[in-house]
Amino acid sequence: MKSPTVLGGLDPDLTAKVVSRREAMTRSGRLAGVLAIASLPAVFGVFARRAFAQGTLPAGIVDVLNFALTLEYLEDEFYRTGLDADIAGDLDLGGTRAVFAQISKHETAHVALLQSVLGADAVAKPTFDFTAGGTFGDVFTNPGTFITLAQGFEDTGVRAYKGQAGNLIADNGVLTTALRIHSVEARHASAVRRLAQSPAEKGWITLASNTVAALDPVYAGEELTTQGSVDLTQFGSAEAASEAFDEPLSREDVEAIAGMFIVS
Amino acid sequence: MNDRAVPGAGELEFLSQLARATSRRKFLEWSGVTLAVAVVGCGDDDNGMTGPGAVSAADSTATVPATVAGGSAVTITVQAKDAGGRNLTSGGAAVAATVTGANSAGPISAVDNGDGTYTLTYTPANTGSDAVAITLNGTAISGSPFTVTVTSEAVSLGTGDAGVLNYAYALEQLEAAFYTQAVASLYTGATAEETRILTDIRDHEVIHRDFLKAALAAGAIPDLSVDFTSVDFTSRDSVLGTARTFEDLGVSAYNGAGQLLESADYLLLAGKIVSVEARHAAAIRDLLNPLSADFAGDDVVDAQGLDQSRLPANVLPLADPFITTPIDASGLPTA
Repeated sequence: MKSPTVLGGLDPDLTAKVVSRREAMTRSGRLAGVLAIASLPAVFGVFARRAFAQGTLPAGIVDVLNFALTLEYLEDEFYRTGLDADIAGDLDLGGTRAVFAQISKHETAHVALLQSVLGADAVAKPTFDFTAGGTFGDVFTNPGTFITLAQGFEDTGVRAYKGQAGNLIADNGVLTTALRIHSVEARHASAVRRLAQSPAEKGWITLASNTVAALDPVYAGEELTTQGSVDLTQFGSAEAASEAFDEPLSREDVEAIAGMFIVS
Repeated sequence: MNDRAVPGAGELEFLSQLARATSRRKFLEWSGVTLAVAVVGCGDDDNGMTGPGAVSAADSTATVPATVAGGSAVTITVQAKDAGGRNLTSGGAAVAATVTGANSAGPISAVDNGDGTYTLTYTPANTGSDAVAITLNGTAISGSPFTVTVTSEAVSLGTGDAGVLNYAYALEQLEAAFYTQAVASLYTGATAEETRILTDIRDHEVIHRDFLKAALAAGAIPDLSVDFTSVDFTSRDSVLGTARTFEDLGVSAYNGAGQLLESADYLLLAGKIVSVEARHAAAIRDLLNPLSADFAGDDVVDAQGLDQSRLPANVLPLADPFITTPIDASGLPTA
């Protein structure tokens, strides 16, 4: 290889990080056991809640999970409101209702799961304004606007979880749970993106393409065509290279996006 | 050897015994002059003993390796014998082999070694079981057809993070090969939407594969051999059904592999790929059952809203029917 490789060139100080992870895993062994309980069916959630109420979750993980919970609150309320508006006759979801009902079911489950894991440490649900101060004033009457926002929320969710994975690496149980939510959000993102197209085609993000200016921050950086030190355009087009890898967002960037829809 | 006594004086008896005790060829090299005496003294009695009779295919034998690694030459030695089971010591017979089964070859003509033995070689590419039929002067020899099991030496994924990345590379090789074939011979009646999606996914999987190979550099496992004989590439249901299987499997594999990685950098890279695999899975599922809940169906997402997660030990058996190269995953981390 003429270029430095990912394995060879990414991080000379990897060893130190690896050791620290091993130590962290040992230290959090008790936590891992507790989280194994949390991954049991929801009926056991009450036990998990008691366990976590004893303060066994490291502050860093509580912080990440509350960040995730806030996003799940947003998604959950958004879809439930939309489905209610559909039933009320204000928002005609038509043939897309089954898709949104399935997504809504998952977001509700994610809220419940994170609440049960966090127990008394869980943050309260914010008050949302899905019109973003009027920018999306017809969100619950115009299916097009509803789908646009749904796509933005799902793509943001994928990027948000991805960005936090590294902060959960010390705990296999929490990390795996987060990854399992992450890929569900990606399934949602694909389905909603295809609903937004006519004809429906790509479920993936091409470069940083986006037609709604207010949602530009959701796609900033997605156009990347180099991973590690490897230029992917030697293996395919720039469009395909950008589609093949989804990019993370920092917590700050996610909070700025979510902040458009949070009143308090 | 003892059916007729060697006539003559002590010298010939000594030479005969010496020839038996050592190798006759070496004896020739050691003492050419004395040999001349011996040969002359033996007259028409080859080896100083009874010569073999006419060659008999039914009594001739072959030494055939029971197993061989794919890509390596199989060397078979045929010993021509007479009806009494005595080895012939001169050549002249027509020996040939025909290979059927996992590999096909032949008829392959043997090299006549001129001493009653014949050498056959063939190089199997495919793993599996070969039947090697061997004939001498057109008649099957004893034991024919012989069975040769062709194996590959297992490809070791390695250890640590590199092992996990090789594991991902193996799965991406499988996916890339599948979509490459699917797009190259797209089933009749594919819609523009289906063509677009399958072509895009092919492009993505090829990039994933080539990226991981470049990232692993010298540590990358070799190209794996794949077997899609169970897929009917002319059938929409078969192609899309297989695609769904591969995508769901890929998602669960990356979800399960994240915890095995030590490096946060590699974890992020895996995360960048897995969400694209999940996007693929949802799109393929939507093609199969449009506008339904199947894109994230209850068969893959549980009541807690969690996608599937599988450890390598649970993924590789599901990929195994499609990958003919044996894979040794024993070095992978388990937690």
